[in-house]
Amino acid sequence: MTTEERKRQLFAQPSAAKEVYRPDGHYLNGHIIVRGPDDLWHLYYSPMVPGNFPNSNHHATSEDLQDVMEDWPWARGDEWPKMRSRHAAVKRR
Amino acid sequence: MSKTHAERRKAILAQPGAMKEVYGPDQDTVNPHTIVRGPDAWHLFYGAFPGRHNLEKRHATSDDLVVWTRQEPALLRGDPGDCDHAEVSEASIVKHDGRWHMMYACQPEPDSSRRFALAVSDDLWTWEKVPGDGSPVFIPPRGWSGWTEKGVLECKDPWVIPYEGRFLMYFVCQNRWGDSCIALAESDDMVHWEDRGPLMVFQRIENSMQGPSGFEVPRVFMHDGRYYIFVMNFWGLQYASGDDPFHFGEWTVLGPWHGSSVFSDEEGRWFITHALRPFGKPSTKRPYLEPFRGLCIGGIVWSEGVPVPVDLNDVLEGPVG
Repeated sequence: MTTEERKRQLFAQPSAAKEVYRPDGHYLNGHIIVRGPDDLWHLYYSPMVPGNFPNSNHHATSEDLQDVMEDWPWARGDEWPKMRSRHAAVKRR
Repeated sequence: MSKTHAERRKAILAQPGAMKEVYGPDQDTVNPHTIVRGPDAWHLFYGAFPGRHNLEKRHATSDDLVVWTRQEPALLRGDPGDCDHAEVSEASIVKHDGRWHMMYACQPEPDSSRRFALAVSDDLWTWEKVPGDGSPVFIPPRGWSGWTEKGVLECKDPWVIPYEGRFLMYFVCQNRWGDSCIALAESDDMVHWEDRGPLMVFQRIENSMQGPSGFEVPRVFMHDGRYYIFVMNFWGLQYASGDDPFHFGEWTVLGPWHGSSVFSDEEGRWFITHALRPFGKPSTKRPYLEPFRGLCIGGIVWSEGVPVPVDLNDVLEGPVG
């Protein structure tokens, strides 16, 4: 499906709020969206799976808040140093 | 190639929102509506357009509340001079003496104030206007309501319930100072009504973007021995409850529903409807008014007297996940 087709499908949803991102294998609860210096919207969230406590952070990006690309996992619970270094790398740009 | 009933049901129940659009704009748009369980099917009676633009009572049916089929209109406007020549609007349907009775708001002329007319049916398919001479069965008294033949903006949304061998009719009206009221009338036979005056009064909030400015579409029903009233107001759909149908407690705002009905089936499952707007968009005004949508239905579960909106799947198929 092309990007335009995906957008058309999203906007055809009957509700006012559109489900723009439905990850495979888990669902999404707590999240934050940040506009990055790379002109992308960055979505950070803890993937939820019934019966399992989330131990990682996932990352997805979008150019337009509609066509969301998954880039996962971003950092697991034991990988916080890596997360900090990536954060620092972004700040240095 | 047209989809089968099973394919249509599956696609509707797969919609990501909790409120499923079960009767979409590909079939018709829906604004004022009421849903009744008949001996043969669920019956949806509705107007397709915003207020004062509905010239007939449209009709659709469903076996399962999910897949709906549009039918021929149930009620057409009257002849020139009749009370319902210029509008056939919000309706309420109850059964009395073995016949279905539809009380509906109407206008004889486009600039007339609304009044209420009656139609009866044996089967929910064919309707006969009563008394049949083009006259209404109820007009609010000119004392407290300040109702005049023309120019009163709000006299609408009748909702009838049986109570202790009689019928109570709640309706929205404005008092002589222009405040928004939910008023009450009583009847033994659905034809002759005694006015009981305003039950609740609300000083309007006027806003160029957000509406409504006062009460709209009151719905009263009983659940687990208590009476509940659901009504749209400035903040969205709100509800209150009471021990009897005349006294209700504090309001709780439920959210951005429009024109909602709350009803149950014979299995004790509860449902809530929403119409005309994409769900989640409250009663906005121009330029956000359109596009108009169809009818959405979601589920309601009750927790210690609190109505909790849930996904339609949760009620039809059991809790998801």
